Amino acid sequence: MDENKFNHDQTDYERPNFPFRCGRAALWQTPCHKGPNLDGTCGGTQECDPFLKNDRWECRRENRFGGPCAEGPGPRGECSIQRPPCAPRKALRVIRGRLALLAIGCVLALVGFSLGLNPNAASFASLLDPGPLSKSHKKFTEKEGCSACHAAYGKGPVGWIKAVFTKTDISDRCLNCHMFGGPGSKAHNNNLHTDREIQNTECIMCHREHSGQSMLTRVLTSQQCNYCHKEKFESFSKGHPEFSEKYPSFSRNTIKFDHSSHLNKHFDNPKFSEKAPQSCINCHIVTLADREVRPGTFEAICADCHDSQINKKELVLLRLPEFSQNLIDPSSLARACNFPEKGQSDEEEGQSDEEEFQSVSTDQAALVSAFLLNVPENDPEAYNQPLQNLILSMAKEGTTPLARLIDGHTPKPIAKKLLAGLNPEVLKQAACSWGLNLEYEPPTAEKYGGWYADMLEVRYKPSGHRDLVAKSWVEYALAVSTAQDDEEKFARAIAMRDQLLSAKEGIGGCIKCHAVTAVRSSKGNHPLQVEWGYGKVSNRPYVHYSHSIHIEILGRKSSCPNCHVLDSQADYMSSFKTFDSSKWVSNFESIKRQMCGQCHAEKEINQDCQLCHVYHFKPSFKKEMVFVKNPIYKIPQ
Amino acid sequence: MSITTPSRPPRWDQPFGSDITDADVDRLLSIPEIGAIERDIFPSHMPLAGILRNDSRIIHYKAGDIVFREGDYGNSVFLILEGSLRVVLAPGLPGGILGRREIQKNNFWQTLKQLWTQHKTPEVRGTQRYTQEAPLRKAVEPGETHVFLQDIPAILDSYRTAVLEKGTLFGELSALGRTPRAATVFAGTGAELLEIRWQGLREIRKYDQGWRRRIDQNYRKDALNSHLLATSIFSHLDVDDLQEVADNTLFETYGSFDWYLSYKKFQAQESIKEVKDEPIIAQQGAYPDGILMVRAGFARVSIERGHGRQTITYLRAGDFYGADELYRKWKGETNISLKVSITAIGYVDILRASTRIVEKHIFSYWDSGRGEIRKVKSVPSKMKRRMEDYFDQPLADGAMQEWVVQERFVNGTQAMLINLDRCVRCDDCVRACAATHEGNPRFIRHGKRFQNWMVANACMHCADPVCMIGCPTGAIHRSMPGGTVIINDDTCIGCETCANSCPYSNIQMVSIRDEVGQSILDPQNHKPILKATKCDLCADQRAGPACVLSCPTDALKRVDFLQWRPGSEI
Amino acid sequence: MTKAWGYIITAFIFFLLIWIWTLQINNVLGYSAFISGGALLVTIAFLSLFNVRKRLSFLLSAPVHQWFLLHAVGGFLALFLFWLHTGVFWPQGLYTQILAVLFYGATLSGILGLIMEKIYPNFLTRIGLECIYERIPQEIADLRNKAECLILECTKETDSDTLAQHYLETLRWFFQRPRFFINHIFGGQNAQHWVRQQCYISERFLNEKERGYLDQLFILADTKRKIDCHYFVQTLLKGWLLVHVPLAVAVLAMVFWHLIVIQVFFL
Repeated sequence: MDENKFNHDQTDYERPNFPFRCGRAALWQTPCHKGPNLDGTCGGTQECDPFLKNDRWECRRENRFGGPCAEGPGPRGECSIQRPPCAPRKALRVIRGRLALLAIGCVLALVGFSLGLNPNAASFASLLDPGPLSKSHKKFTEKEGCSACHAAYGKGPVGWIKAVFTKTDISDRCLNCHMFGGPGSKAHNNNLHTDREIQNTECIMCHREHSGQSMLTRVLTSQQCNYCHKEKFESFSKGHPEFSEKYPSFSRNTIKFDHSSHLNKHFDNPKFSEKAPQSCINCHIVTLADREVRPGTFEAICADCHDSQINKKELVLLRLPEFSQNLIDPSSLARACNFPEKGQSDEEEGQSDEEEFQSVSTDQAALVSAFLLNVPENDPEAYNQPLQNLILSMAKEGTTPLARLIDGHTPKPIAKKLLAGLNPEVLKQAACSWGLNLEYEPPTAEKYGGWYADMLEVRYKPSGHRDLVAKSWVEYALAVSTAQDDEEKFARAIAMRDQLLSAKEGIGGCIKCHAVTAVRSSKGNHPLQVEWGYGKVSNRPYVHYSHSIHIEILGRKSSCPNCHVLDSQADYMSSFKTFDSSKWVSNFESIKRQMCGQCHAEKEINQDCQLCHVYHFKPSFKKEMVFVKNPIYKIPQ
Repeated sequence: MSITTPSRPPRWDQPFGSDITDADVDRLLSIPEIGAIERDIFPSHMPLAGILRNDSRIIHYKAGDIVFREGDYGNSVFLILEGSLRVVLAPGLPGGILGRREIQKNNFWQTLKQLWTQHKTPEVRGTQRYTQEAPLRKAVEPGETHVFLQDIPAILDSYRTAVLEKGTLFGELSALGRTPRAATVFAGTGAELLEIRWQGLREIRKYDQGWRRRIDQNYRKDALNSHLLATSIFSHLDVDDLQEVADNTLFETYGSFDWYLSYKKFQAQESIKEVKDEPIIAQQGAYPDGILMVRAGFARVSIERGHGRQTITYLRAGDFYGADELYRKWKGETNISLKVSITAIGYVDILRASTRIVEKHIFSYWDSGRGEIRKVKSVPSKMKRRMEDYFDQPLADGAMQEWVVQERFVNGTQAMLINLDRCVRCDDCVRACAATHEGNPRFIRHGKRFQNWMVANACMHCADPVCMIGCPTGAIHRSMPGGTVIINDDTCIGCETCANSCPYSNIQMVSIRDEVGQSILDPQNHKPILKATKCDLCADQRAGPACVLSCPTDALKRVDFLQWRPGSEI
Repeated sequence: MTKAWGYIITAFIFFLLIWIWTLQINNVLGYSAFISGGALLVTIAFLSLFNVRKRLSFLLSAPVHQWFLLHAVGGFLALFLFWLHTGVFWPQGLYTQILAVLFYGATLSGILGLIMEKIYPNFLTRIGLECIYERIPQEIADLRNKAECLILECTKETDSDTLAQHYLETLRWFFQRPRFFINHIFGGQNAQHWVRQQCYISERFLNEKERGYLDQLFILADTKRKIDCHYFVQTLLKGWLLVHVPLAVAVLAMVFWHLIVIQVFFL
């Protein structure tokens, strides 16, 4: 190779833009001088183009390729140095350009191909698919497909162009299925405080789809929360607002259980100390620990001590008061009672040494009966007639007149419940013995329930906890003691109610433990309601606390008093003096933030906002989300 | 020892004018200007008649023919035999009239248009250019093709001209000094001229006192003072002092004028000994004798190293040497001698200002405090480092400079230097060059290499543009503003003179084609029309040389080796 | 060199700014993908302008080597912005995966190309000769012709076909086309060794005159070996762009599609 071949008649310019290169050179043979033509054909099939000059053909090869050849052109003007044409190859740059075009073509083809596919069927080949859907969304959008969330899907090119210029709101579509306790597009779904500025939010700020089997949901940092919340603070331990004053027990208990008195006094009482629980978890079921560690049932934890107290407190339904005059027609009474007339019995028996039954009476009528008959209980003049009528009718008809009376005070007949187990014979016998001044003899049949009578009263003795008759009577008393038209009537109702609700005298002593709450109603009257059940303590909106993990960590037996500190000075029972449930004093000191902050602090345990605070408010679904494919039972319409 | 008898000069084998006859020679000898020459002085191998026969020719001009243009490089002198000529006084004729390409920078739109007006077919020329009459008058003989002026009366009206009458000898400065023609000369009427090529003129001047005096006087009259004034150390002189200096300046010439022809021969050999054979202008260690100014050509400045000489730098036209030594001697230091040797590379014309004059006019001026007392710089002002800095440089460091001088790249002002350690051989430079020339590159990315440096075959726009000598139509010319050497494609007739002259093979001949790719053929002999092409330094581009801008690895530079050394950042 | 560092630092600062901006947007639960995506788009657009710039050397006066530095730095910036934008190294979903594959391919090929362009020029210079890529077939063919002429002459002059036979058995294969591709591109010496060996292994069977021819043959073969090296390395230096540019173009096409999809379906 001559490296010094620089002269102008030895070399020529290199033209890197020329699109072809000699085919011979591509095969590593000697390339021709001329090179390929611009159209890609071989340019070197012959050395020159002979020129006819004066009837002679002359070779016109350029000097730098050797000048005119020795042989010269042929007779017909063809060049004498011919060679077969080569197949010129494309230059590298041209190939590069074609590869680039091919690349674009491939992309376009892929796009076109995938647009023609049904993405649900073949999402693996779709060039629209930015990632797999989360499992649940995939299932529930099966039928609608992509257009469940994306309005523009399936609309064709015009729709797409429109979609470019319209703001897509995917978050709106989330609300087609998802529902909240408040507006879906406000922060925390909060509609409660209209005086606050609530930011507008979009679901997709935090929830990102197409990110795999499980949806990608942001875990919020305190900075992110701080962006909206006016009261900004750095972390739980630095600057978090103090907990509410009454935290964690905001509402009055439904069951009046004074922890102070029990723990400090009753459990130490030698009478009960054997039955007393050893620790909190003897009553509070730790395996159900969640927001609360709820106590067990009455039967499990209270009955040991309290059960015996219940059946000691009886209802006095009827009482035989002092009558000023005897208005009952003896003969009809006797007839009703199947009793011989008085005169006859004396003659037949001769002289009896039997002591004559000395009937006694009480001072007043029973409050219940006073209410039922709508008579004052302490005014004989008033209650003479109605009561004696009642007695007579009781003698004749048994429970029916009472039932009638009871039902007369309520819109719905409930006498069945109230008088359940009351043997009409008892009433009859009672009425007869009272009317005829005889000694009362119970009927021979077995007693049903707890109804019984004696010479002075008709009573009900509760069988034990959850006695339905007792419960019904209490509720009856509450129901009828809502506003009555008549002031006197109202007063009698209140009196009856007070008696029944009394912790000491009331039937079963229910209200000793069960709270009575005045329910707020828009009508103005506030009906009273007994809190029969245990009032579950739920999580408030946005705050979630779970005892379980804390108990696990802190230990079952010892962990409760760490946070729940008994406040012996607190006047717990004062909460129940009125029916107003907002007057509430807890047995325990409220839990301050510092309590939690002992562990949830910097460099200790996690103090993320979302550890305790829930963002959404009552999330639920709008539509039926579950479809049973093959129902076994047809749900009857 | 045999004495070699000088023989007939080999150039006479190719006479300048092939149709000069003995009768013509006799006629010439009878002309007063020539007749005054004493023929006997001439040696037997170089008779005057021989010179006239072989080194001159008679040319006929019609009215309007341009003899030469201002700015042309020519190597011949003219004597008017018959008729009269006109010389255009300043300001000269515009380039377009002279057949030159007007260089105008493209505007934005024209620049952008280049994107889509590139041809894939090589060397396409729009045929409409050739339907127009180029202002070209063809002739059979080489040298007889003339560009002519279209409208003489208009030119005579619009431009100031002077008449050159019969018997005038003109053009000798350019011929002997390799400087551009100072003015345009055209035939006012039909004229007959005797053109003597420079070799012949040199011989005549050498032997004939009359011509020598005449030529030297002309030089002194026309050019020396301005040359001196342009030299920095004399620039403070007033007119009279300048004249005194000028009167006391000697002319010297060293080396061979046609160095580029011998250079080509030398290319094939190892040319180390060439350095030793260079004519010595001043010897290291010798007594300093005046200040040497280079008027034309190149001089090597070297110091002795071992058994050879290491090149420090070189001097170009306008550079000078010697002030430092003389000054110190004048100040009283003893044992002052020349620190360097100065030798002629190729050829060099020296002006020597005598010591006495220098002491009187320069040193006293410096010492008087009137002028700026500057540290005497004996280096050409363009160099960044002082010459002294190179005296102790390691041999290896100076190797590149040696090579550059050896290859005569010192001539170039815009040598294309490619750093092969950075060049990724992507040819983007060639592509960019093609993009600015309608798809035709104007250089080849190959050339001589030294270590990792390559000087590519791209026109270096030489300080001494030997390519321009002999262009019959003046198509190759130097643009005045930039010094760029440009070929006017329209007036080039493809004679290959420039391509053959260029010592570095930087000019390529191309056969031009039409838009469909067919070669454009000369209608007379059906041979493809050739044009000379070369790098024009992107004279009409706004952004400058495209090759430099387009190199992605910054491997390509256009350098002047006087200023550039490996490692210097330009 | 200082300019390169200047660009790197600028790119780094730019990246930091974008990153901080995305963090701030995240704090307000915004879509930081717009900012990172926008920055990525701007960067990719700038990168793709490099090809355009190369064609416009006559129009713009900022030299291409500055643009090249910016392109290399910008490529790395784009890679980091890509990771910032996607948040993962490997996305899910077919079209984002295709985009990621293309992007990584373009980036990797770019990095490889950058490494090659830094290492190979030095290597080429030290081979000792220069040959323009397009002239290599011509040179190899010339060398082959010369070698065969030499062999023929040797046979004729020495009346012995030892060298010719040997040539047919060994060097003929070598002279057919460039050989030892892998070894050459990794800077190995196998070819040199092979040539020397295959030539001189026959020495003991040759006489003085034949050895003269053998020496000349060796020079031709060694020159051809150097040209081979040039050929392969220059092919790589030009050929890697046949991977990088189409990939980059495909990236642009996919980015365009990506913009359409998010405009239609997300915004």
